[in-house]
Amino acid sequence: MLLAVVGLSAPLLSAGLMGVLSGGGETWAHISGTTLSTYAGSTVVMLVLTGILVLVFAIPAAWLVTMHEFPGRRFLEWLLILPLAAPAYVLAIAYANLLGVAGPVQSGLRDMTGLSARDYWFPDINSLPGLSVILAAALYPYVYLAARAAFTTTSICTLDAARTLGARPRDLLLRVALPAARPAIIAGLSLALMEAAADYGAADYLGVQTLTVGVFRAWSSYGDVGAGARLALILLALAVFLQWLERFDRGSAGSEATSKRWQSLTRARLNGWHGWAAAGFCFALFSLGFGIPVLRLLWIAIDTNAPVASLSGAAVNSILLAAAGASLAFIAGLAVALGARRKTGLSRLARLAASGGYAVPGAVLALGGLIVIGWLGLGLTGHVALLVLIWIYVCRFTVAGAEPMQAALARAPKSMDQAARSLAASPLRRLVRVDLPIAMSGAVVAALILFVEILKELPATLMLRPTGWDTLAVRAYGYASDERVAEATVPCLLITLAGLVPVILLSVRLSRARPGETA
Amino acid sequence: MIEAALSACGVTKKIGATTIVDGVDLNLRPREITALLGPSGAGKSTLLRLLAGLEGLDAGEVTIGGSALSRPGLTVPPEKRQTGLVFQDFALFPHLTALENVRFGLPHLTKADGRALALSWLDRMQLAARSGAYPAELSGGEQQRVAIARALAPQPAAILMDEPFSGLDPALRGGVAALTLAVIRDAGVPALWVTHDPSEAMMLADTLAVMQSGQIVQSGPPETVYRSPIDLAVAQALGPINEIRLTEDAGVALVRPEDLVLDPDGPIGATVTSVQFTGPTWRLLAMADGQNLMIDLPASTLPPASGSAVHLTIRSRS
Repeated sequence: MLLAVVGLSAPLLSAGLMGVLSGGGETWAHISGTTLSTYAGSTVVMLVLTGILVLVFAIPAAWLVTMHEFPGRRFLEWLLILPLAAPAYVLAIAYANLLGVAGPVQSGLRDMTGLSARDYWFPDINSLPGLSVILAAALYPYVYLAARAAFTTTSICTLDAARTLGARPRDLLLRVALPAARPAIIAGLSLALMEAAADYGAADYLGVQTLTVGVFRAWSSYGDVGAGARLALILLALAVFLQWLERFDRGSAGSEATSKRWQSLTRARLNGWHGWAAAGFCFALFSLGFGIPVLRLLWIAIDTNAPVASLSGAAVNSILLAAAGASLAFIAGLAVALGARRKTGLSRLARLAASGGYAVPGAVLALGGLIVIGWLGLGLTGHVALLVLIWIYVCRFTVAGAEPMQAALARAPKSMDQAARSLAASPLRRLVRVDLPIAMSGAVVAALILFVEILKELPATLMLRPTGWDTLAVRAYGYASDERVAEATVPCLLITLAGLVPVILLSVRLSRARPGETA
Repeated sequence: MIEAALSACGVTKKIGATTIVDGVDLNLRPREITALLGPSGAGKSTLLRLLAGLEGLDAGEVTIGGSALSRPGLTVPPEKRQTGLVFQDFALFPHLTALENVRFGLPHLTKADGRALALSWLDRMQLAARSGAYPAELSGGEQQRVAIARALAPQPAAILMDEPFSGLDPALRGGVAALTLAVIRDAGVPALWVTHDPSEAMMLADTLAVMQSGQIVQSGPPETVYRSPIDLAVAQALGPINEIRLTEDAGVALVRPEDLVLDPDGPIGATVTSVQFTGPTWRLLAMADGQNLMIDLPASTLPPASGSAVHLTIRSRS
């Protein structure tokens, strides 16, 4: 457990420490004099815009599918989760191609109107608002899932009571369901914003200079780890704030379900154009986050007969790294989940270190890893680089693996542990015979989530991989940055395809979850 | 099996400034089922947790056969004190079958012996046919019977049950409770049964202990506590009761509804205000000298009409 605490927190702490200690080098002076305000300003604007869009997308969608019946609802309910499968940089690549000056939309527009590119205004996807829309399209499912679960578990009795007290449908949402779901929505939003702040690929590809891009540049362009660490300090503060936000009023009694009676929801039927409008909104959201970009990539891939064979090496690398990282992160996640059951100081620290790693952008963790091997006097080559990369994967994703296992344990009543104690089971026996098998019921989901998260990971892999260890994500990004979009499509689609597996599994689990359980 | 009494002596538990359990003395004898009754918040579950060693106590002592299990500064942990626990939510291990759940407490036995013993306990609980089922495949009543078999199989020195039947369907309850308590009595261990159902407790327990505000206010055989409650609160805890002021100076008599009988020469004149049929009885509500009375008449009798004047007498019990 101590090992887990030290191992999980070292990159984060060393990046923080370096940021404080490094003083102001020349690079830092340069950055703070020129681009720091851009980095910070665009990050804040991006987070605010993304946050607003995520809420505007997710809450109506969740309310529509949980409380109403309309054409295609059962299918749309499920489609709306799919954007979780595609990383934001895949969306960025697809939309930049689709909406760029040379892309099919603008070309079509010019063909139809006979105008030339200078004669009209078209929203620029390579911009801060463009990035925000793409991030919101990719990340709204975090809030959608949280709100949907909260709306479903808001006791129907409570809503019925409100109805008998004369509340109109609009009041039900605004005065009963939303306040009750607020902690869940805020938690989902803070997760989405953590991901948005951590994004490197989409921002860099669209040319928006966020802090995460800045951290990466400080290292890649200036080779200055200290300056990167200084920038990372701001991101660390942001991560602390978002973590605090996620826990904010989570435990208060005001939003707990007060009635244990569960009834199947009677959904209000939306007839005529109301129903079609609801279906249209949900379908548009799915198309924005998944349908359109994936179809566009598929189209290019087929149209250009994009090469597949040259990717086999990258695919093998991806699978090897993801398997190694996922195995270790799984073990660490299991330790964290089992530890949380015991509530000792050390297990709390381990949990804190793990969630800290998840809240911090991969670029910052990679920087921390570089700092640690620098202190150890090692070079970033061969085996060392591979080990550091896998270590960073573990730091970043352990908590994602711990979560499903912890949820499985949380469903077991406290009295189960007491029953085991009264049957004279020692702590070790309780751990092995009771807690472990229960935690393992979340194991498949945990392992899959870990595998796919690592498969999608971009910035840390870009920074730390040794030569010859390009992954699918690195290839996709590299090709797209070199304007070889056709070649980027296949790795993008493969990553998205892999991402679909845990998402589908998750949706099956959600639909099976009994009301009152948090899936 | 150790046949020894589980005793609490002056047991006290405080949370902050509030005293939850206040100087409780309780002696649980082998082969005897003690039902602990009382309103919510009386401290029943806390007392059970103190006896089980799930919590430490602030004063007093818990002993079994004279050796200390709990006193201030010492709490023999649950895993070392050989007390079986049964919970309202059953607390079965979801990943183990009924048989494996029962075998969980028998790790010292060989696989074959453990299996045989677990099966024999399941058989006593009339569950031998369900031994391979997982908890999710069992009904509530079956789950609770597995939980009881699991608690009894390791031959505990005592068994403690926290509202074990209140999660069950009313139709199943009586049967499961009767079977369970018969098996426990047969096992010869002291048993404490926390419940808030007085009629079930009176029917099935050997001793009643009534708890109020952290203290045990009366204990004894069910009939004694029912017939001779020490105060109105105890009387009310076991069922409806009339407070009848007979004369100016005689004080108040506590009379059960079934102990008021119609008698043309009876000393109490009353007017019937309502007549309700409950199945086994007619329940009359009547008014006598500004006092509300409740009277239960056997269903076989013809009840007086609502609004009629009646005379009542108090049935004497020697």
